[in-house]
Amino acid sequence: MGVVEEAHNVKVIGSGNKGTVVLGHGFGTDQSVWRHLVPHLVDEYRIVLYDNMGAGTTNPEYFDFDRYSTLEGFAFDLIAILEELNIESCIFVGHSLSAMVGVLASLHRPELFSKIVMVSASPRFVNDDDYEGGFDQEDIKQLFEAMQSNYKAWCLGFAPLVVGGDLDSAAVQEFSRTLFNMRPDIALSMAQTIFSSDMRQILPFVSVPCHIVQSSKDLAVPVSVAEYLHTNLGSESVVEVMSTEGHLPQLSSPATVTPVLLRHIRNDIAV
Amino acid sequence: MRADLITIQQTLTPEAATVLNQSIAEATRRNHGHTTPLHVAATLLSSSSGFLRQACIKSHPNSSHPLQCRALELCFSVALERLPTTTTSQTQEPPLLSNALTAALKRAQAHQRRGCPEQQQQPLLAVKVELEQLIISILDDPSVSRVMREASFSSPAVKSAIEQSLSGNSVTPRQTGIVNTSSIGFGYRPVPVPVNRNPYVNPRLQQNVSSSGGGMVMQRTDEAKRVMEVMTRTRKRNPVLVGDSEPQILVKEILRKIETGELSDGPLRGFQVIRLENESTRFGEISGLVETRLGNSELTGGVVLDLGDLKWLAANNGGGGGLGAVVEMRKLLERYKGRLYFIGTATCETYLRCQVYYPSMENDCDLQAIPIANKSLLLPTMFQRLGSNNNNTLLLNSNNISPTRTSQIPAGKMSCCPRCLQGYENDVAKLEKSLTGDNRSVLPQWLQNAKVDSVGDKKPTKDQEIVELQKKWNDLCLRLHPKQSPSERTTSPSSLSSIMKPNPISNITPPGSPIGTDLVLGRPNNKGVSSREKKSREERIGKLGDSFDIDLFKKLLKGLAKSVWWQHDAASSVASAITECKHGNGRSKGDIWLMFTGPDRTGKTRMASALSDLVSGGSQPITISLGSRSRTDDGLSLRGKTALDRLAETVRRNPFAVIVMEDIDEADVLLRNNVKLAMERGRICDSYGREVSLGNVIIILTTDSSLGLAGNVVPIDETRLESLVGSRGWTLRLSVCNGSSTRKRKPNWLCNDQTKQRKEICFDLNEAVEVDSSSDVTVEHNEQEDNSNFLHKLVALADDAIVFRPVDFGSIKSKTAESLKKRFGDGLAVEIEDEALERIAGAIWLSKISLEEWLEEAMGSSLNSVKSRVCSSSEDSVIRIQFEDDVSDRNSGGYLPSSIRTVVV
Repeated sequence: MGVVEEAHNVKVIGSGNKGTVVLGHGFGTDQSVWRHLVPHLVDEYRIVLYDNMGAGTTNPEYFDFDRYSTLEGFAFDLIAILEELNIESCIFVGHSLSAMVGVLASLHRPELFSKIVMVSASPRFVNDDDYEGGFDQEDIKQLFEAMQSNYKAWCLGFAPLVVGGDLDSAAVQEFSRTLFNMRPDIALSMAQTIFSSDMRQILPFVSVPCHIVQSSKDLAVPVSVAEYLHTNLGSESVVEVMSTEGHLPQLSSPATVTPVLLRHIRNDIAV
Repeated sequence: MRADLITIQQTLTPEAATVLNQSIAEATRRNHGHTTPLHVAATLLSSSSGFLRQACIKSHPNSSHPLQCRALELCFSVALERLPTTTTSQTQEPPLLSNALTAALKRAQAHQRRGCPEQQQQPLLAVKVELEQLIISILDDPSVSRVMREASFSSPAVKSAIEQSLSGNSVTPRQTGIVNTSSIGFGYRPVPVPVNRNPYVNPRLQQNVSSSGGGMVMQRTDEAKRVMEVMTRTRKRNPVLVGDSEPQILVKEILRKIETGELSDGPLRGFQVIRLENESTRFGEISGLVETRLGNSELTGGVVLDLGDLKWLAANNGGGGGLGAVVEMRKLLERYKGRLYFIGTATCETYLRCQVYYPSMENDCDLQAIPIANKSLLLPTMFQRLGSNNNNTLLLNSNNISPTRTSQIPAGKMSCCPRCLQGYENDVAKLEKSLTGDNRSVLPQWLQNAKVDSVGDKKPTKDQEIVELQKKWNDLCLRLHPKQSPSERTTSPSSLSSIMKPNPISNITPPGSPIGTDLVLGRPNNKGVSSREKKSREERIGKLGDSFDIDLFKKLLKGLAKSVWWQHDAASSVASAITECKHGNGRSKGDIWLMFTGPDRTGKTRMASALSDLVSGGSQPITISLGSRSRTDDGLSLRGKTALDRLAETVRRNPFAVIVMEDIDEADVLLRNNVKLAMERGRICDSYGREVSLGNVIIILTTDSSLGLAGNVVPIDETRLESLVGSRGWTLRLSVCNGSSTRKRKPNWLCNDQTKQRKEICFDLNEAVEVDSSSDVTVEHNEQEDNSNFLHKLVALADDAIVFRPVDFGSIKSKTAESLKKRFGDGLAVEIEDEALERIAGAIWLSKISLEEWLEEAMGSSLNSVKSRVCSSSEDSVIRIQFEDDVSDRNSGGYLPSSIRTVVV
């Protein structure tokens, strides 16, 4: 097993011959966020699961605060994984942070991606003139302060907010678990990276078809963001807003999300 | 002394207390007279959480070296061995805390208090010393830092490493900016290491490759180089390679190089090697050999004496020939300065023992220890350390993340007797067998579960099954062996808190979670649902004795009963609950949670405001209305925030406030859960995740539900009352008329008859309500079902639940009439028209003002004039209070008319 594979806990499973599906998880989770989707893919596809650097399951020593102060760090990691596995082309399913990472990676190496399925993706989380990102500068400041002052308390408050569910629900529990697994300083650094990122300028240069999948009610990503992506992406794109709630619909409402994701993975955008 | 220990333990969090207890146990085991900071440090080092260990590793320059920590551990155990033991070993009492340790604990407490500004206002005992603080203050102890220095650790460095990880701020200052301009947009940076085959790889991964596994040979030459460097120094130039098995290989290699003359250009040119083969017994001979060799003029260089494994020096507890050998070595070294080198190997333990037995050896013989890592093991051990130990101290494992899940932790949750425990264990073993029988090991753990789920197979996961088994056996045990180990059983499976609580009686508490978190620490659930206890308050007061402050109770009861006179029982319950909580019953928490149940909304509101008045000195309670029926007006600053944030905000602003959460049964799920959590933990977490300590607030949760405890008394329909009193303007007419004529006009029987008739027409509040409520019941039935479960949970968590009996409006009316008549004085006959009485009573009921106040305000002047007239006229006069419609006076001031017309007939 290569170094990269090992560091990112890469798992390749599935026996399908329809191609390779790479699943990228978002902030505060790890590859287990795809637990409900994976079983439905194993027969058709070869599936690559990996953990982003900084996730609780990765070695914190490898987290280079400089490298991951921009999303490119994560994008390079993704390309490194694909290279090490000798993947020539894949369907990339990215959630939140990873959706943008996928887009960024596709700018460097468009040939590696046949399409990108973006789940709860946002090019910029902070509001701007003529752009509704869902967060005010003040919100973000408070969020960082809360993270710094007491990480575990922040986790407990943040998890139900983001997942959008009952405090006792399995999804919230699961998200708090993975969120909490992160080392606090790394989590803070990643959150800063994410909330300071602005991918709006690069959207027109994207050449890979994008499927935008989004909850109808998502605290972190307003529905208008999906529309924004759709209009500004340089490539073909399609939007599907699901009736689900929360930023992690694949975890909180798998029954609704899994069929949608399967559809978008299996079918391409009709020309 | 025992009492001392108990009070000290109360100032510690359970983890810290556990460490202290273990240290005491260690001191007992070693027959030491005192428990010292050294014991605590040793316990901390050996504890599985390894917080201290990790900080040590972090602080040390050669941080990747796992042996360093073992060295430290050994240094501590050696230091402990040196401590004097008591001869009187038969004493049953645990050893006293040494002064140094007591001082350290006090330091820790002071730091802890300083560390959390939120808690400044809390009493001394409410601040619990966390494990981290304990470690920091232990590190400050001179004896501990001396031992750490011996193992070449710096306690200040370790301390700062802990403090750093505490604040979670190992991020560089650069990271604190909110918008990192360089990261916006394109800012692609060139990939730093372009040499790789794969340019996208994280350079850190490659660093690791080169320094471990793949670069083994390279590293060995590195270490050899280090050894040679040591040997070419002027001081401390005799290397002792400390490690498990690698040193021998390395030494062999180095000596081979010296012998074959590979090092022809260094100062070791032309050196010969003499090996100490038969060790100490022959050291004398060897020294002779060295002398002859060095005396030989043909030798241009010098001699390297291979001391081999130093265990021969450490054998026999430093007795035997060891000391002689060391003296001899020193002599040789002095005589042949610069021409004689020693080289040796030792395991970590051996080297430390040598240091203990021959404290001056290192200096006398110019020895320099060089730690050598075991390379074949380095990679896995490092990963293990980083992957498990390292993380666990900072990050919790999933089970600990939330108190709601603690009941699912499979281990250590059994409360049954040994026999049943065995049965349970058998079952678990069976279960495990059956699970491993399935060939499911190919997929990762989390996927295995998912797979099972997704297939639709309802087979429960292993954890669930284990929990079920626990439940089964616990239940079984409870039924079969009810008399066995009742004390154990009180720690119910769901309350981890009671297990985690420091147990002041036994010396050793079971080692709880090694991780310093407060997440799982609920409050001891040591109170029953007192509302269900039918015994009278007086009995409880008697029983509580000293701990019950009778003065406070009386003051509260008097104040509360005065303003909420129709709920005397409730007032008494509130008073006793508050008194009980304030005086702790041994509990040190400051926040008080009360449930006000029952339909009497006015009573509840009045009670809360009277309580606030009495408890927090005249201020009004802060009301957060959750229900749709709220009449309260919230402060402007709180508008637009969620109820949870308002609660947190209020608590933050005034930690002594009385807060009313009205209609808690109508709260949304999130708030409900947060309230439940807050009740358990004494802290509230707002939606930004900021925690606020509840301080000394009194939080009153109200619900209209009586939890099925109230009888079938029909409550007052307040909306109806409101429409009656508030819809139209009305006023009162006060008239004085001749007594006899009045009596003629209105005989008693007629009076009664009239009121009866009126009742039947429309004004019987009770009857009207009866119809309404019965229809309500059918509609809201389902909702109530859902709610009752939640409410019962709250009742169980609250300090007390107070039932407000439904109020009979008739009694209110008669009471109002009574006080009205009283106000007019004894000698006068007062007649109050029923309609007027109804309105006055209703209005008083609904408004915040009391009858007396209103009478004084509105009736005062007219009353006096009426009185004077009555006195001057015939004694037979009667004062009549009548109701009058008044369109002009509409809504001028609340429900009650502000003035009263006085008419003399």
